[in-house]
Amino acid sequence: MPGFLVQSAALPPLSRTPPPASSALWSRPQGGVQHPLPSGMRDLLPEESLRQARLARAVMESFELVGYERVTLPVFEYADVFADGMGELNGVVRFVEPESGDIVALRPDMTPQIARLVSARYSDAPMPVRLCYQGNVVRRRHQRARQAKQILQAGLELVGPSGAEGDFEVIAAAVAAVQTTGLTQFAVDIGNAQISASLLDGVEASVRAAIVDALSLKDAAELRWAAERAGLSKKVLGAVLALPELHGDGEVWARADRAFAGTPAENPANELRAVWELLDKAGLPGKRLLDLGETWRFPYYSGMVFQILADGPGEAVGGGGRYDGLFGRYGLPAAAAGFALDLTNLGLALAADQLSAARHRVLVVAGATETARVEPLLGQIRAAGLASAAGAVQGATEYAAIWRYSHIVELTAAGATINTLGAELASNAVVKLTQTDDSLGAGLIKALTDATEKDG
Amino acid sequence: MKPITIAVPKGRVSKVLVPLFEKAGLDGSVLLTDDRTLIRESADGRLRFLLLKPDDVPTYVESGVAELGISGRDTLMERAYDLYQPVELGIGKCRMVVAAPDGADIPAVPRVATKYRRIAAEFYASKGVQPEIIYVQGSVEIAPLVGLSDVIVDLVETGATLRENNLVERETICEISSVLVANRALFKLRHKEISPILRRFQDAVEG
Repeated sequence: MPGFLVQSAALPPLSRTPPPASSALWSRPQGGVQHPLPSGMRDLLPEESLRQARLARAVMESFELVGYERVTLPVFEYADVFADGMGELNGVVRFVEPESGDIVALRPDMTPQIARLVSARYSDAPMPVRLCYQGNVVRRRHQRARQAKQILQAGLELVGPSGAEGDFEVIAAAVAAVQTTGLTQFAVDIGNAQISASLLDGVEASVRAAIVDALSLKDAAELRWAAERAGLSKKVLGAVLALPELHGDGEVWARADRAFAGTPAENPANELRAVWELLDKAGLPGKRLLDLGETWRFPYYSGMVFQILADGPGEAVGGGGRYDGLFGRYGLPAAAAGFALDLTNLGLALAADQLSAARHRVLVVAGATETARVEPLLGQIRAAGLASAAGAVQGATEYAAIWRYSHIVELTAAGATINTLGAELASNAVVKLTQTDDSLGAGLIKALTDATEKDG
Repeated sequence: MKPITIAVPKGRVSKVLVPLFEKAGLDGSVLLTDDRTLIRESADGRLRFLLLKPDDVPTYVESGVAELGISGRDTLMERAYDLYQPVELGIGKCRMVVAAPDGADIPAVPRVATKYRRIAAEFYASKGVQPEIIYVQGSVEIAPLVGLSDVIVDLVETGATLRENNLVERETICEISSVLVANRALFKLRHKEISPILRRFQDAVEG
């Protein structure tokens, strides 16, 4: 059967759990000379480095497939560039460039850089502009459980299109990228930054900040305390107090309609609903979630916001949204939307996804002359506690990949071949067994058990 | 079904926690079992508890090894965590206060001994005062008595410890109680299981 060895088109190798700690490449104790790193910085040793590089490549190729062109951005630039886009520069690493005396910043986010680049170089180019990027961003996080300072991101920016179609294109590109890497269990959580903004229009700045803080924490008690001091109308106050509860799946819309009726939040909610319906119609993979009360860390969001969530990292795998006012701050008034994936978190999600998936599923296939051997073998494999079913030789690899079998056993005149799907090295992926007597079953089980244990 | 993991504080708050769980229709009785295990599962297998030092609860929830946690607002204010804080539980009530020896004059730029550096600094900053903040981990009451500081900023429940050490409450910074916190990603990924729990806690608090 040609192509019995799995081609690496889908990317399960990336999603393997880390090799055992005994692996010499995975973990090297520091011996002899100590060279400490600044807190939050770390080296990636070959195996992790390779996995991350493959992940980045898969994601970038997925962006390119939907028409985005790659650009490379400088690791630091004038701090003003970031301040223009992000307002406050909390947690940003800044220093004085010795040659010029200017204050520069290690990039905390690449979207302001793209805005700067597009305004400077493509202001007269035909729209839309579609660009993608990858690279490290640096953010200081004090006293956190995971103090990652350096985050490897891959993201894209869609400049020009506004409204639901543009929003949909960006979300669909994020979902496609995540799916390419092999992640099966994930959720897309969407909201609209305008909902809370429209309700709080005209509220005095310090009260507004307290309300936004409470909203971002879904802190109902603090929210009530602050919102009751904001001088809101009864209707608007009711809508604001309802926000922390307006999250979940599609059933949220009915509650939102009641909460927002007759308030300025009706419009942004309807805009978001158009995006939600486009997503529904497209039937994208992944769960869809809605959070109408979410407020976001970066103040530049002006419309739809979304994040990709999955078990494993304990925080979002990636996120983004619409920022129609951002490019104007760099001299190019244009609608824009985009997102970035955190590749470390994506790797953690993939590892968790693999653990939760039914890993040990064996597909047994046989040529015409060997079919009689299939049923007894299935019985033996099942008796050993491994899920198994019969399949056809023709297209077995594709079938197994779609239905998430971990192994294919092909019965041949010479004995049997075990193929581990997605194994990193093709030479390890196939175990050939030559016994034709009764010991074949036992030998197969042992080989399968060895193979699944090695993977798990 | 994977159980929902709740990080709970050992000590002061845990005794009032069990009745609250009961009121919310959740089985928290394993919290009272007198043994040294730090991970316990409810009899129905729906909840798993991690018994932690109170200050560590937000760390476990933020990193996603626990979906929910019960934490004092003092800890949450002192270190800004990336969490949801959906339900104020109304248990473990106390106050964050400024206290000083009875009758002592407090200088314009006071020396403040406290475990809560950030809360103290923000409180004084809001009054336009830049105090000298001295970090201590415990037995804060001793600091002004022996001259380490002029005042202390600390949590007060009944005020007994202050009185016994001849300290007087001068200002209240804020009221503190326990808050139910949730991991931002898991709150959404498992909302079908978590939302009902939150609602039952909310009802239990209000009822």
